[in-house]
Amino acid sequence: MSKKSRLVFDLANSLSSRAILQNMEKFPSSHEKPPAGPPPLPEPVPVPPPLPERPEMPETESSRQSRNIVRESKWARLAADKDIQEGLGALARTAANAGISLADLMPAGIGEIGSWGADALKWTNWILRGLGLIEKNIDLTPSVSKMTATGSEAFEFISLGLMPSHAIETLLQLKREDLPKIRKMIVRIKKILAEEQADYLNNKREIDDAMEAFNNHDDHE
Amino acid sequence: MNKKEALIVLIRHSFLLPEETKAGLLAEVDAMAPEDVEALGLLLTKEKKDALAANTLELEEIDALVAKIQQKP
Repeated sequence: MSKKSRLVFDLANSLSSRAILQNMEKFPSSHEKPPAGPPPLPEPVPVPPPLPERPEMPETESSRQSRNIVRESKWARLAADKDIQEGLGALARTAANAGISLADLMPAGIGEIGSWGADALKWTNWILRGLGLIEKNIDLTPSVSKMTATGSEAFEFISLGLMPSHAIETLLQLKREDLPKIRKMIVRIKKILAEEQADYLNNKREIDDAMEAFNNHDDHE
Repeated sequence: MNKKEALIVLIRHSFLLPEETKAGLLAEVDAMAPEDVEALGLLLTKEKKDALAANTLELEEIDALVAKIQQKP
């Protein structure tokens, strides 16, 4: 690979990495109240027919680099979408809540640390946001009211700490807000990927000719 | 199709580049050195090939995932 090619690869790689980092900072914590009622099912996305199979070529170092760049850039581009950002935020929140719920199974009061911590975070978030000291929502269960979250801890006393009370908040949060957002994210990812496929099929000849212009050099890499 | 024309097509249909970058590159293509045209064209050709090959598989995986999620509301 020539020095210039290497330079372009490095540039693209650093741009895509930077885009991913920037987008990670933007992962949201939702401030909105979700609408009442059951979550709407995602709309079906029309998918263009699959592409014809291409003959397999032996993989070279530059092919591997290229594929990694494409993958990173693809995710950077997908993560720039608002629906996908919200879905990733919901996914991360669900993972955190599931972890706390699992830890809550531990007996002798150890498991309650996470559960009480999450409730404390909810109240702290409410106070700090009320005072205008923070803008981000750090509440792990924003769709569950403070009273429900704190009240569910009563089950801990009744069951002598055996019941994972945070699971109640986790399930409520998942059903009310996170699952609809995760579904929406999946549908959006599919739509974006299908758009690229459709763009190729609509302009197949032009794109194939353009790729062919650089193909001879590709084979020698 | 010469290489500059091919590069313009690949930039326009690139999934890797954001719209602002595409506009910037399209404005620069005429002034680009042949080596730069070659390097960028090669990169975008590989990008397009890899992206199209991966998309078919990813779309199938997403369909399976959506079907699973819809089974367990």
